[in-house]
Amino acid sequence: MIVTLPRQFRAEQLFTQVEQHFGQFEQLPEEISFDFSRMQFLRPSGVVFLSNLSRYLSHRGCCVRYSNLDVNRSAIQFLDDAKFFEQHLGEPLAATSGIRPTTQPLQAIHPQESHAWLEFTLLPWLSAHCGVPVRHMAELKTCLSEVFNNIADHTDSGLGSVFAQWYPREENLEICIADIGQGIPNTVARIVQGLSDSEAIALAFEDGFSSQSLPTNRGVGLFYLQQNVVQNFSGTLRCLSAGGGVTIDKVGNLVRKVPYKVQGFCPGTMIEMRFRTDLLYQADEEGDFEW
Amino acid sequence: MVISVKALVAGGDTAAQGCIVYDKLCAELQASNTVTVDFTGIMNITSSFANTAFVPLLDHFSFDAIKARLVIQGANRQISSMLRDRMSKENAKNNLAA
Repeated sequence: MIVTLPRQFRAEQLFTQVEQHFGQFEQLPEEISFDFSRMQFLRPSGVVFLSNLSRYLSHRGCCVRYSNLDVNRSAIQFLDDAKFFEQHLGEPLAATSGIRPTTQPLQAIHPQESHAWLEFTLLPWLSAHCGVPVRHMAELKTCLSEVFNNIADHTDSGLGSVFAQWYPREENLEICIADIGQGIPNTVARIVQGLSDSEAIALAFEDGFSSQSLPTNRGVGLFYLQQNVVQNFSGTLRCLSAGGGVTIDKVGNLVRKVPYKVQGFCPGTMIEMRFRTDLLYQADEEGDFEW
Repeated sequence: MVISVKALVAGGDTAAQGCIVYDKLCAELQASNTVTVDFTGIMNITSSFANTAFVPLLDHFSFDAIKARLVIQGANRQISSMLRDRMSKENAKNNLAA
């Protein structure tokens, strides 16, 4: 089976092909080839989704191949520099491949190690670019750790990846984190039935809504993410899962949630966030702690 | 009695780390009148950590007793805010259920 990757590659553009070729992953082909001949540009979500999908297919015993890898094309170079091919083929395509200063290479999420990666790799790299000291990024680190904890709680096979890109002109950071797990609509359906996938995702971001999948889950993580990325950092959040998506942004001082149906099928959950880094800095509290 | 979170766990990221802190904290609160929890060297705490290290104390002590007997030191803005939020909301939920 051949899957041709789109010209402008965001994850969403592959969902239709995923649904066409794999349905909801009931039956998989023995071999699949991702054809890169048309790809000209890709966003962090494309890097993360293709990586997760490749790992998931391999995990299920499907032989994954990549074709038409022309290392003279900028999109292929970008993916090579993001360490995609090193992770999936065992070595980079080009000897000249190297990590770009504006990106953090693709990172597989391991529940026990990823929190330290945030503190000792991602945040110092971001701090060097945006000038905000790492100690003032506690909220950002917590947001990302909350997502990692959700992945650890809801993904049996631990198939998750993260990729970050810094846009120096806009002073924006874009991070995409995704897993191939149960997906939010399936998790929400244990508690509330009859919702569309996008309604289920929107509900998962409400303060205090918990799937109660673990006794320690109290429905805080996704709300905390929204509170900080959207309200405090004036950024945009997108969450996609199964057949639904929700975009969350700020209009004036109000948080706007726009649910929508995705074309195709998103296996697992994907969270994209983009925000201005100058708003990460917030003065610390003075004086002793008070309840 | 001072409990250093950093001496017990590498960070305040996971529920498993919260459980370790809870075991120590609950035992000390049962044995001593006042307990200080020191967050020096801890950058942040997640809701999973707060939900396992602190929220279950409400099963054994009233929120007023916790406020009176538990001293928090070395906590930055994020840690303070997460602790206050988690404890006050769970206490309110418990009061509603009672």
